[in-house]
Amino acid sequence: MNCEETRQWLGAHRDGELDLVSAAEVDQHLQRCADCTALARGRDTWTRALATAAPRYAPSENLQRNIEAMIARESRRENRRPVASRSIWQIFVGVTALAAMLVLGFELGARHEQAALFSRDLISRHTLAMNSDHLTEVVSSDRHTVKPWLAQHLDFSPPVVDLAVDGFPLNGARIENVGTTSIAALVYHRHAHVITVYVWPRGALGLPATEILRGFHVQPWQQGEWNFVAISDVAGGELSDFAEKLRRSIGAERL
Amino acid sequence: MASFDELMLPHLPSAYNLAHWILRNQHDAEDAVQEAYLQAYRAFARFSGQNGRAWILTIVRNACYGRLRRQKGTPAIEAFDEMTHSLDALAADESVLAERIREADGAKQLELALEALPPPWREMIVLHDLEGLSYREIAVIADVPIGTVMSRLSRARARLQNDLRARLAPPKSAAEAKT
Repeated sequence: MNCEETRQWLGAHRDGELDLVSAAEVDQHLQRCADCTALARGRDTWTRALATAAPRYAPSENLQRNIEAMIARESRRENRRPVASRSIWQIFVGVTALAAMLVLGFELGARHEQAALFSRDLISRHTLAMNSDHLTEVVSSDRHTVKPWLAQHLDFSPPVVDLAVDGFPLNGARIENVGTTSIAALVYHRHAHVITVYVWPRGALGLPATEILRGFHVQPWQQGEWNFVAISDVAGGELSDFAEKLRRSIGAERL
Repeated sequence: MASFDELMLPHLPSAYNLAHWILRNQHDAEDAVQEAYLQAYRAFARFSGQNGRAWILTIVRNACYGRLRRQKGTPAIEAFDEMTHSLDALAADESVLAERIREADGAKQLELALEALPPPWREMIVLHDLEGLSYREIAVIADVPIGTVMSRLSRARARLQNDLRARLAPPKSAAEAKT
């Protein structure tokens, strides 16, 4: 290895990130080259100085307390089961589902619970986006604007269609972060209502449960390589109708 | 597995430091970190148990960039011209510059120079040089290949030092003085 090559690898070498063979070659060069060794020492000096001189921003005590309080609230909310707000039918379904879960075993029950929690999470995101004025990050009814924007910000390019002709105009899109996975959220309008369609590649994350909660319908489905979830407070029949039109439109375009 | 609090709260200092470096002010950093911890709590069932620090920092980073996107309305990271994976060769003795940043004015210029870096480069220096994460961990957090981590870090360091040298050089005239 000559000086030129060594100096290209020196950064990674000082970071301890070179593979054994390359590291050994750099070591050998450094043993016989005073100039490169001086550069290596200079880099080490710089790295130490940087770690000391650069500001390190520390969280306030308030922040930790607020986070702990928030987690405590969230945990209470998950555990709360207000029986009074449920109909007899929902209780019956709930009990039957519970019995089924016990029969099928804990493993399945855990997955079911996860799917149900995921539904609730997506509903929260839907309502939060509407109420906080952060409904969209790209505002456009043109799929030739929305699709590339999503492709730029995600590592996948979901199908995007406008259903204005059918009375469901596309409003735009945003990105939601579910744990470490980023998913697309397409925003449609239906009269005064908002429909969010979450889309992501099938392997990345499982589907949430089909659910009706506090007037919001959650309708998940798989199509091709994609997972879709439509969420809205429009009447259930309308959401199914929308989902059907979306399926057909996407299928037709072979996106 | 240990509770969420036990596993994730110890990483709060790293999480906040990263958020502050990306968003550049306390208020936004606190909001982003809170949002991230809530998302992490809700997604905790999906955490595999490996490397909690990398996991929470991924979520924090995403929350920060989400915030930047919403603030500007346009892409927070403009079409970032990633050249091929070439590494900037070490060219100059960096120990002189190292001495300068140990002084008060040098440290201030360092902070400004770091803030002036484009976020994709700045975060490489924060994650590696300030937070001590490995290339592999950074690749996971920033969702890029390891080769990209290596070249971005190399480029970021070169840019940072060049910028710093310019800032620390005596001004030729009042008009040329750096802000």
